[in-house]
Amino acid sequence: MSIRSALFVPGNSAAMVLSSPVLSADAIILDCEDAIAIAAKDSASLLIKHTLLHLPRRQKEYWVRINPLDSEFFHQDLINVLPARPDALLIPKANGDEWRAVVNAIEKIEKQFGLLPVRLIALIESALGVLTCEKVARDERCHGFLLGGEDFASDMGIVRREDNRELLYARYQVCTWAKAFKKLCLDTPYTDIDNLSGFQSDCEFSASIGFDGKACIHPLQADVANEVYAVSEKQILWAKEILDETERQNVGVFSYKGKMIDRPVILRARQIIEKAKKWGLLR
Amino acid sequence: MKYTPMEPYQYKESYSPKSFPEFKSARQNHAVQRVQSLDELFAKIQLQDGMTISFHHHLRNGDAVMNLMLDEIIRRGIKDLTVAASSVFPVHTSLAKAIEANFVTQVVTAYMSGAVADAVSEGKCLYPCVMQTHGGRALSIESKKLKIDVAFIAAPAMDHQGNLSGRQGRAACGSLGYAIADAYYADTVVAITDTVEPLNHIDIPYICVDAMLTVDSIGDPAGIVSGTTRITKDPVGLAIAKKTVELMDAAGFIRDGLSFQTGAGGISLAVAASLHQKLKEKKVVGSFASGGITGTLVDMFEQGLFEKLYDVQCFDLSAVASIEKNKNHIAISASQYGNPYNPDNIVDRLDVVILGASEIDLDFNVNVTTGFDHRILGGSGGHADTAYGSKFAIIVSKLVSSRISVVVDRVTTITTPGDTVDALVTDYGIAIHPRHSELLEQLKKTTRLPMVSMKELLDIANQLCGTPQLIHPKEKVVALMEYRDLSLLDVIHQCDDSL
Amino acid sequence: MNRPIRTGIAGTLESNDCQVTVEPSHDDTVTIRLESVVKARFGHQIEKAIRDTCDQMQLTGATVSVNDKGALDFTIKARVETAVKRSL
Repeated sequence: MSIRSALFVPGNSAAMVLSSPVLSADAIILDCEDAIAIAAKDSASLLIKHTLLHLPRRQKEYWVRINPLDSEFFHQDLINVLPARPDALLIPKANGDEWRAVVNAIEKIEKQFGLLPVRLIALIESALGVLTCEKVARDERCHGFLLGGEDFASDMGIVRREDNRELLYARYQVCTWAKAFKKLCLDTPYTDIDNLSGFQSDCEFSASIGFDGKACIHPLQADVANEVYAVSEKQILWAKEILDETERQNVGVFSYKGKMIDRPVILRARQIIEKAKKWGLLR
Repeated sequence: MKYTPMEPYQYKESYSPKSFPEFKSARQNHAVQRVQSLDELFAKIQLQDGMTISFHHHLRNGDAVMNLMLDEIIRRGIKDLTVAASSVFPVHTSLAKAIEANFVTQVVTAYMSGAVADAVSEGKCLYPCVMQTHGGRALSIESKKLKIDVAFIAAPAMDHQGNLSGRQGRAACGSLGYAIADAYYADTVVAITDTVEPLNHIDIPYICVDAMLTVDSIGDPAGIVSGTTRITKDPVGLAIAKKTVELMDAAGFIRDGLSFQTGAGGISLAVAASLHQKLKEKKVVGSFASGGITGTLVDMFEQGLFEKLYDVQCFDLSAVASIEKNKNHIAISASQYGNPYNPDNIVDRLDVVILGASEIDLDFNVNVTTGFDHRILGGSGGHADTAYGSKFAIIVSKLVSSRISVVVDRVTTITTPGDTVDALVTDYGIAIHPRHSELLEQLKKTTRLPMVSMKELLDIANQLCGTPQLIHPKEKVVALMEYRDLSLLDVIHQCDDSL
Repeated sequence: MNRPIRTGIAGTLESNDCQVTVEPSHDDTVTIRLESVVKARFGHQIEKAIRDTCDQMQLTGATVSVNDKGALDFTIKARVETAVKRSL
C-alpha cells in the first residue's frame, strides 16, 4: 500500500461522502471522531457503514477514523464499521501503552463476525504517543503511522508555528520508527487550507525526511500532495531501464552504465514501477 | 397565423451568408415622438388583437417594463397577442397572468423560467410556444419570418433626440445586443426609460425609435446580476474545471489567438478561472472572448490575456463598468453574435465554448430546456449557436447531483443536437464524441486524462442512482424547439403535474 | 420485533441527504410516507430501500416519514437505521 494523500471527510455529511470517490486523494478517511458532534456519533457511524457497503470505491482506499478506546463510542463504531470492510482503521490517540488493549478489542469483534484482520493505522498525536511509538511500530497489527500535529501541540502546551519547527522531533521520531519496521508513514495535516504554496513546502520537507504521504483536510491539498510524494518521471524512466536490463542480463548482479545493480536496486526499481502503475503515472 | 418552425432539422455543414438590410437606416426627417402617459402611448401605437409585441431581457430578473406593459394590455383587454421576448424570467408574473386569461396566446423566446415557464408547461397557453436560440431569434426577425408589430425597448438611458444607451442611468446594463434586431425590424418601436440625459455612446440610434416614454423606474439594478454568475467553491466542480482546461491544452487549443466563450454556470465560470492560470503559465494571449460577459472574463481581458471582448449581454456589474471604459470591449447584436447567415457572426470564429447541461445522451444531444419531468426550466439562449459555431464545444457537469444523472439514455428535449457537441467533462471522466476518434486515441496515448465512453458514464450513474423510471408527458404539445436556422428540432409536451 | 417508544429523527434536508422521522403507531404495521424531489423517477426504489431496512431491523408499529432531497439508497438506509435506533 502506498498512499500519497489521505483526505479526512466528515462521516455524517451525505453530500461529501457521495463526492469522495471522485476526489484525487489516494485514501479517504471517513471520520467518526473530531469532525462529528457527540449527538451525531451514531448517525455518522451508520452512514459510514452503509457507505462502505454500497458506494463504489473506484480503486481508492476507504479508511475510518473511529473514536478513541476510552470513549463511549469506540465499541459502537467497531460494531458498525468493521463488518462493512474498511481498507483500514485509523486509531486516534495511539500510544505504546494502550495499543494492545485497542488491538484486543478489535480482534474480539473480528473473531465475533469472522472477519479477516483489518489494517490498523496509529494516529500519533500525543507526547506519550511520540515517545512510545516504537512499541506500536514493533506490533504486527500496526500497518502505519499518521502524525497529528494539532493534538500533539496541545498536549505539549505549545503554539503551532507556520514553519512547523515545533514538530521536528516528533516527525523524525515517528518517521524513523515507521521506516525501521517497513510501515506506512503519513505526515500531519496542514491547517491553513487557503495557503496551497505553504502546504506544498510543508509536503516537500516531509517527503525529504521520509514520509510517504500527507493527511489532507481539503480536496485541493490532495492534488498537491499527489505531485510531491509521487515518483518522478525521471525515476520511472530509470526504473524501467533497470528492469529491462535485469531481464536481458538474467543474472543476480550486473553492471549498468558504470553502476553495480544488485537485488536492493532491482527491488527499488520494482517499487517505483508499482507505485507509478498504481497512481496511473505510466503512459 | 401564429409563428411556427416548419422544416424538420437536418445537420448542415455551413450556412451561406445572406444580407439583412437595416432598412430603417434610410429613414429621412425622422423624429421620435415623446409621449407623456401610457394612455397617450397606446393611443399612438394602435395595438390590435392578434399582434406580436417584443421585449429584450438585458435587465434580466430586475426588469419592470414587460410587467408594466402587460398590466396595461390586460387593463385594456387586448387579446390574442404573441409575446416575442428574448428571454423570460421569474419576475415576469404579469405575462403569466396574461397567458392564463388569453390576452397572450403565444410566447416566442430563447429562454423561460418561473411562472411563465410553469404556465406554458402546464398547457395554459393557447398556442404552442416557440423556443428559439439567441442567434435564431435574430435571424427570424431579420428575415421577417417573425414579424414584430410593436417592440417595447427598456432603455437605461436616452437622450432628447431619442437615441438609446445601455451604459448610463440607474439601471445600466451595458450591451443592448438582444434588442438591436427588434429596433431595426419592428414596425413600431417604443423606448421606455427612467433616465433622459446626454449620451456618451449610442447603442440604438433614434432613427429606429418611434415613441419614447419616461417612467419612474425601468427595473431593479440588483436583479440584473443573475444568481448563476458565481464561481463554484465545490472541490468537485473545481476539479472538473481543471480537467477541462487540461483537455483544451491537450487538444491544442491553448495557443496565441485562442477564441473562447463560457457560460455563466458555476463550473463554466471556474473553467474561465482555470484558463486564466493556464494562459498566464504558458504566456499565451487569446484573440477574443465572447458571449454573455462576466467579471471573470473582464479580469482576463484587462490583464491582457484576451485582445477583445465581444459582448452581446453583460452578466454582471463589472462587465457593465468595463464596456463603458474599455475600447476593445465591444458590444455586438444578437445577429452579429449568432445568426447563422450573418457572414460576420462571432460564434463561427470561436475555438472553444464551455457549456452546461441538464441532460446529455448517448448521442451527445444536450437538453438545457426542460427537466426530466418535461417541465420547462430554461432554454438554449446561445447554447445551440455556440455549440454549432465553435470548433470544440465542451459540456461540463457533475455526473450525479441529488440522484439525477446528467448522462441519460435519451434526452427529454433536444436543445442542442449531438452533431454539434464535441466533449463532456464530468467528475467521473471525459467522454469525446465518436467523430473525434483520432483525438481520443491521441489523448489516451499522450495524456493521463481519464477518458471514458458515454455508455460507461451512463452505467456508473445507473449503478449509483438506480435505473430511473421513464416519465410520460401528456399528449398536448406546448412548445416547439426551433433550431438556430429556424428548422424544427423537437417538441415539448405538456408536463404531467400530478407527479 | 422492535417497536418504537419515542420519536426518532435522523438526517438533514441538505441536497443528497434525507430526513427520516420514526414515530410509534397504534397498529402492528409499518407505514411509510415518502416525499422526494425525485419521487417520479425513483419513488419505488426509495420505498424499497426504506422497507428493506425496516424489515431487517424487524420494525413494527411505526410510521416512517422520509423527506428526501435526492439521497442515494445507501444514505436512505443509513438515515432510516439511525432514526429507528433512536426511536427504540
